[in-house]
Amino acid sequence: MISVEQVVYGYNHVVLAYFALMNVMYLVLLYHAGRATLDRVQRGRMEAIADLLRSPLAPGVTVIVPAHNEQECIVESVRSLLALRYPRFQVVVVSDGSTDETVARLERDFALEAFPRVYVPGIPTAPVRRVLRSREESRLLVAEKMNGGKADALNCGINLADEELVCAIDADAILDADALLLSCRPFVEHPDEVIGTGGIVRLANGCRIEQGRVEEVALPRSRLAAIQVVEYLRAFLTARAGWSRVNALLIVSGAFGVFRRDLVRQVGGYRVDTVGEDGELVVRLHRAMRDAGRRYRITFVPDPVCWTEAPESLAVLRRQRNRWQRGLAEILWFHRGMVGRGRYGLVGLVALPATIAFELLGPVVELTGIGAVAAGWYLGLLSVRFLVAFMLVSVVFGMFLSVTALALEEASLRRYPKLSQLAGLVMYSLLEQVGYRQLTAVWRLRALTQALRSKHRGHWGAMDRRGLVRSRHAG
Amino acid sequence: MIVAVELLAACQLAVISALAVVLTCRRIAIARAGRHRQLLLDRYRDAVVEFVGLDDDAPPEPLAGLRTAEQRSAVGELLAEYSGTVRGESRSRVAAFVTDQGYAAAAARDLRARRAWRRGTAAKALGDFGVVASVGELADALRLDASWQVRVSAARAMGRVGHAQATADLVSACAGGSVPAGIVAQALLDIGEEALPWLLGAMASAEQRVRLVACRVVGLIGVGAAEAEVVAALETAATADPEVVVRVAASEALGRVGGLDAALAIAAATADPEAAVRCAACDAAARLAAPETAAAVARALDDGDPEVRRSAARAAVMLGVADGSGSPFMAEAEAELAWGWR
Repeated sequence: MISVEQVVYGYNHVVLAYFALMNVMYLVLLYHAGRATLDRVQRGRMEAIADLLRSPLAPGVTVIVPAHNEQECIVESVRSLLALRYPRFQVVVVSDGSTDETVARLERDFALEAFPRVYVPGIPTAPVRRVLRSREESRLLVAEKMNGGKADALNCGINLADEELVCAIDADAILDADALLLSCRPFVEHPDEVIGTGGIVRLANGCRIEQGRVEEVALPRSRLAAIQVVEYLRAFLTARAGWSRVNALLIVSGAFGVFRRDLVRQVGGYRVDTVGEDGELVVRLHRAMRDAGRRYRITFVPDPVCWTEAPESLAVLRRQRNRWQRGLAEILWFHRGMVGRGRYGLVGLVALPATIAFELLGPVVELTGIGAVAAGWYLGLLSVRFLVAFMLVSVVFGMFLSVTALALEEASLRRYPKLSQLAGLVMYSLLEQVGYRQLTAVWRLRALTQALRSKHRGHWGAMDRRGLVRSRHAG
Repeated sequence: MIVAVELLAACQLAVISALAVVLTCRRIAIARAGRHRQLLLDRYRDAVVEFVGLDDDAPPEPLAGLRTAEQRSAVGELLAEYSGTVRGESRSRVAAFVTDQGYAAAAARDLRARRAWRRGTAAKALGDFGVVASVGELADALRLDASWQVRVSAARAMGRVGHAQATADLVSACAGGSVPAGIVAQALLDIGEEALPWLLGAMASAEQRVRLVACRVVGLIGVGAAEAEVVAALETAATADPEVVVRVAASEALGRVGGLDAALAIAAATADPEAAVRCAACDAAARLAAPETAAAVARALDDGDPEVRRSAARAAVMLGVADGSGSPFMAEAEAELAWGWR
């Protein structure tokens, strides 16, 4: 008969091993991210991005803006997108069953007229009611369609795209003026290999925004948002940069990603039955390319910045994390056949198993681990000294990863100009580990149980934004 | 066990503290160095702009007799920055000046520096200076340097120098995969018409990426004096290359190159088994608007692929082909033309 003590003792060992393995993986990712940063810093000294601006070899890009009731920001967003520095691009706004003035405001501000565009649903979508264009601004096309969800709207945009590349961007996001140039550079340099790129997503809360551009970078006043700044930096500059370097990047953010249009069409576009449509497309592209035995790359490019708004209330943050975790669970379920299979290379052998173990099941192990350690102490199996030391290692290692991400940011991008901002970020990296991480683990665990219990269809995630648009006007 | 965990925590804390200190000190040092460098750049900027922009062989007073390495480095940086923006006589004058004053020799020495970033920066400077004599050294860097960033920088620089001598090395680098195809393409494009003889050879390369680069670049450079050879090579690529991407690139290039033979080759490409090639051929026909493609375009209006029909309709409207009138794609193409987009 196995006693409770033995179970608790054994589980504590499992947690310890899990923790050690996870940290080793993060260290390996950190190593690759560091090397990638070094490469980038060296390249930065050797070339000017302006060369690309004049290059006739730069492929055309269709920027797709899926919009659902975005009347507050859509006009400003489109103006800002049309002002991007890139040799050849068009903007396709897809209003997905908007019931507000999203389309009306675009019609008014850009003098749109009905255009006899033939809609070819190469990727099946909800019906398109009408297509509008402007005589003055040939680069803008607006489609009004029946409601079908964000993925459906993106698919509609892909069907309407004329250019070689498609760039998916959230209606509320703000791109840096050179963001397209930087994110398309890998396509120019490796036209026969690169099939997708993703830029870094940064948080605009607290920044000064004027005329659709981030003019001054600052930290958010809200502590919750400031903690997310650290979280985003770590996620993008270490994890994504690391996975990208070994061509096993599983997620290109839905807020800003560029893909080859022909391949996205070939694989059937975004799946509409998941809330993680962005990551799912990336994994499906990996799968399709490796099944076909083709050489390819999906790359994270840290310089092109997409600014977005972080939740400043716990309720909204909870909903966001719930959606992300369910999306992750769905992606991994759809592509479970790739896990552990050699034909999918590092994606199948390392990236997917690691994502399952440390991202999907992370909250389970973390929360039960806290319980097990506490039980171990209660049963006298663990001393207080060990308990404190273990917790300290756990917290400090998380901080270490965050501070290293800050170091990578400092080495290459340096978007936070003041020393006080840097100090603030170091402080928030501690706060993130104490309280915030555990809270999000609870939400993610709940999302996981929801994902196991029910099947959610893809929809527009409700996010009560304070509004970058308002900041623009205020700024 | 406990001691090991405590030690681990202590080590991590020490690393974090050290990182925080390094970050702070580095930030302060960078700010100071940046201010100092900016002052130097500001001091010499006007003189460099004046020298690069004016038709005067004698350099302005501040540029003569610079003594410190810092001053020379700042002026070298400014010369590289501004000489890249001029062509012809002005560029030759800057090249002569940087050769005479030893800036080019210093950059060439730096091509053998220990640190990769120094070698890459030196290659960039040589490209910006436009010193033809440096092509050999840049070619060595392109072939032999262990760092791919330096090879990329050397390839770009060879393009900016713009001498035909660089073409063969660039094509070899592309074939060997030591430099990304897109970088080579831009460099060849910068060299321009003088690269054509090598590009014609490259179009028959065994490497797909080389054929792709050659087709794209030829289409953008134009035919020069070798129209017949260029069009014949593109025709072969557009209709017989085993790779779809190469046939697409060749079809697009034919549309840019123009001429009767190109039009006939485009018409042939509209019958390609791959829709992407048929689309590219129809787009090329629309660009060319040559009557010789009209029959092929009319056939493409009934293509099984809607995207080909759309491209064909655009070409048909440009050519005034009456077939297919009344089809929705024709209405779309006519509206595009009427709204002034084609």
